[in-house]
Amino acid sequence: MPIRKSYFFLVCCLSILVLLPLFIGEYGLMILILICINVLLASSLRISMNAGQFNFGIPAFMAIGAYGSALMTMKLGFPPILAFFAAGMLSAIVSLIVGYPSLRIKHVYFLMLTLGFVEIVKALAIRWDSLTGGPTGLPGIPPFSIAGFKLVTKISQYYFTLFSSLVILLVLYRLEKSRFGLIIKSIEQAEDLGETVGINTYTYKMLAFAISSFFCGLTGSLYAHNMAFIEPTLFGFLLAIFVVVYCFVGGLDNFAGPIAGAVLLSILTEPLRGFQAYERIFFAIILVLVVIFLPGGIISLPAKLSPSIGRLRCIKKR
Amino acid sequence: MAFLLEACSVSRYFGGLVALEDLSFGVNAGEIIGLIGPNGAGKSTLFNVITGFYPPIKGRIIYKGEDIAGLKPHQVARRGIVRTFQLTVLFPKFSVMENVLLGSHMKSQIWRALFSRSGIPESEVKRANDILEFTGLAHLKDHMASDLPHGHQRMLAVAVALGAEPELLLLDEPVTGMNSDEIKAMTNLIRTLQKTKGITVLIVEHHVKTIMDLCQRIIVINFGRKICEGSPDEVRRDEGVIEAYLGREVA
Amino acid sequence: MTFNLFIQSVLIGMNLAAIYALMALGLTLMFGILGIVNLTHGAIFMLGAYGLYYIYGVLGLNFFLAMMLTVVVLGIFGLFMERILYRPVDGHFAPVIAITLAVMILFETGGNLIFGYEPKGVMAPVTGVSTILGVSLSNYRLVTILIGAILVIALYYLIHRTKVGIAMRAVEEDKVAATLQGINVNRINAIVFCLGTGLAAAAGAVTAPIYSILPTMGNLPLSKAFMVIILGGMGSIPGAIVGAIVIGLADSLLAVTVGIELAYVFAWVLVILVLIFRPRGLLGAY
Repeated sequence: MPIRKSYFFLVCCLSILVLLPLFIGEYGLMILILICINVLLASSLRISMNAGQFNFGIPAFMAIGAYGSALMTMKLGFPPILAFFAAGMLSAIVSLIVGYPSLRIKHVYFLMLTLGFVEIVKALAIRWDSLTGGPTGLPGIPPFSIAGFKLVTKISQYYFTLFSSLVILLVLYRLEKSRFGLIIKSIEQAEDLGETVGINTYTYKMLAFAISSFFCGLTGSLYAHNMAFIEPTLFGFLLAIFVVVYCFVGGLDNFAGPIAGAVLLSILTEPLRGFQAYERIFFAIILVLVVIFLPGGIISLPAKLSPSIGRLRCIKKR
Repeated sequence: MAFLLEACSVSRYFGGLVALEDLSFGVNAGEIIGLIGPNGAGKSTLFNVITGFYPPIKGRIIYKGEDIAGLKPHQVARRGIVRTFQLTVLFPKFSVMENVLLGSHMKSQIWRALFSRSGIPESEVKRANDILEFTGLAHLKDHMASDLPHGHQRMLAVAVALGAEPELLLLDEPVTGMNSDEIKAMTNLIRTLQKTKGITVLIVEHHVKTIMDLCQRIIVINFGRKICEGSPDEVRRDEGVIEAYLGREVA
Repeated sequence: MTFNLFIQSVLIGMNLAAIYALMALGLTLMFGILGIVNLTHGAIFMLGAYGLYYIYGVLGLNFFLAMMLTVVVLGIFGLFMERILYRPVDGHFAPVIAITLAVMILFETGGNLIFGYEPKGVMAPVTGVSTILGVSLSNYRLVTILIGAILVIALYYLIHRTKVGIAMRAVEEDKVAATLQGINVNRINAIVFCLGTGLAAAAGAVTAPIYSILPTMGNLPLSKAFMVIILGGMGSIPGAIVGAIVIGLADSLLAVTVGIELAYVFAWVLVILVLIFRPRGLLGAY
């Protein structure tokens, strides 16, 4: 009864998450919000990775969402919830522009171009200081407000972020299990075969990239309105690496993999906060160990440790 | 009667290498046509050109009256031409069932694919099951494609192609590496496809007996040029063909 | 823009081109022959610079000797890298990316811890200016261009005139066929790693006297090298050289006119535009 077990597990986790604010203070809640952000980023990356794309551009689209949403509320007077969705759309549209030339060629190029794009966005954020506040960042971003009630307290922000994250994850999960998800995963395995049976792989690659960027944009907006302050160095190459590491360490074969990786690594590196160097070394070592000794990622551990689960998984359709 | 598929003076070069030179032939609807020739003769190149993996440098490819040269592979597939590959190409991480389901996705629009969150519709599952029954793979449908033995994998490749509802099926060495039972199964399958579903088949094969048994007509190419075309008997006796390819294994 | 400034910018541009070319050549070789993208290249660049700093700047050895020593040591290290990064995962693309990523982080962070965060500097071995066409140009930059050209010619000679070079090209074409011809592919892979690493180290060592030496200094040359090989075409050596010259000159001239950040944006946009019309890059084969 593995299916019943995982539902039970989910319900337990959910209950814990909902009741947590009773036990931890403001600082803890902020950490939880950041963990949610990391989970969303990792899951957004997963869509691209499913299609075989090494999308190092995640931080760029998060930045577009964050700055876009912040500026829409601060300079254009949008209500934050509207800016939230608009930011997602903005990221998606930009990704289509970036993806148009980059997805027609070998995936190696895509990797490098997205890396370059991150630097571009950062450079623009620094240079265009009249709009973005430049290298010193953009303070004073207004919080979300629901029905006129402003989410200023960490608890309200936490519940809103948690709720949004769950909804987004649900959408991502349904996408993955749908016909669309099947087609996307086929591209990674045998793109030529897909073309042979009539699948326009280019269009699906663009869609995967756009959807991934859409959710990155939403995540950026979540970050901006909860933290009230953003600055360019947040959205750099290092973030791209972290998100990739979450996915690899968690495991790319399972929807829950990037989630597990993000949660685990965020928690483990919490004591190292402030010791940037050690945090990074820790990441690097874990990454190497997982890649060499546990290629399926952490999420494959239960299957490896318990032969019965492993056998069931082998035959069950994924 | 007009040809279903007609190649008109097709040429394809790779730098200085001549892969196809002024190649012309026609395929009638409902036929099983064999395409043979020594290794490197250009057979796979011809398949790649027909199915749009790269365009011909010269010449036209007319399918049902339309010149399809230069179309992308998925566009060619949507018009009804589906191919298999010389090396077994499947979706290794998917189950047998999922592999066949991929083929039927051609019929869906992208937006329906995106928003169809209720999984795969019943009709498609039924069609996939039918194909699996037809190809004798139904008992393996939940197994991972990469776990299958070689012969079953090649049969699965044909099943995947069938999922796309082809009118013209291009089979690239379908019985490579199969034992005699599997070859018999594949041969029967191809014949049944022709008889019951009216699918036209163009088959590249080195296994002489299969070609001779199955095909109404055979086209022989060497060095990218057509050197003979005719019934199995005519080809068997042609001097040029014997010299180029068949050698002693004739009677 | 005055004529003076223009010529000086062109010189700096060729200087950058030499550095980018050395980086890009290593990367393009590794992609063409090994099929991987080596993300540690930037870190090697950085180590090359620090190597020169310690051997020439601190120990006081002759500049060219110090440079050769740095390149050789890091080249040998490249042989080990093939063992640790490439072979354990059979050279598969995704794991190699992950591992090179990890190693890159380790090197950079290790560099921060070992070398410290403050920038270091060394004096150029050749100082002063020469006057060409009435414009004063830094002597050392001219030397850099010369060194770059020499190394590129040496590489060309290696690849087209030696047995090892032929073996490398054979492996690039078809690994299995090369094995059947008796070529020890593992050895060739190791040599390619060694070569690529050595080139990156040379780029770093030669740059050391020009810019300040920091543990993070490798990131920018790495991204530039990526732009270069995309522009010139993956796996193509002439492409890498052409791309390096284009990007080097563009960087220099744009930096003077619109500023460094926008120069970066323009370079990237230029690459994208080229890709739209020539998906394989200017001279690419893939």
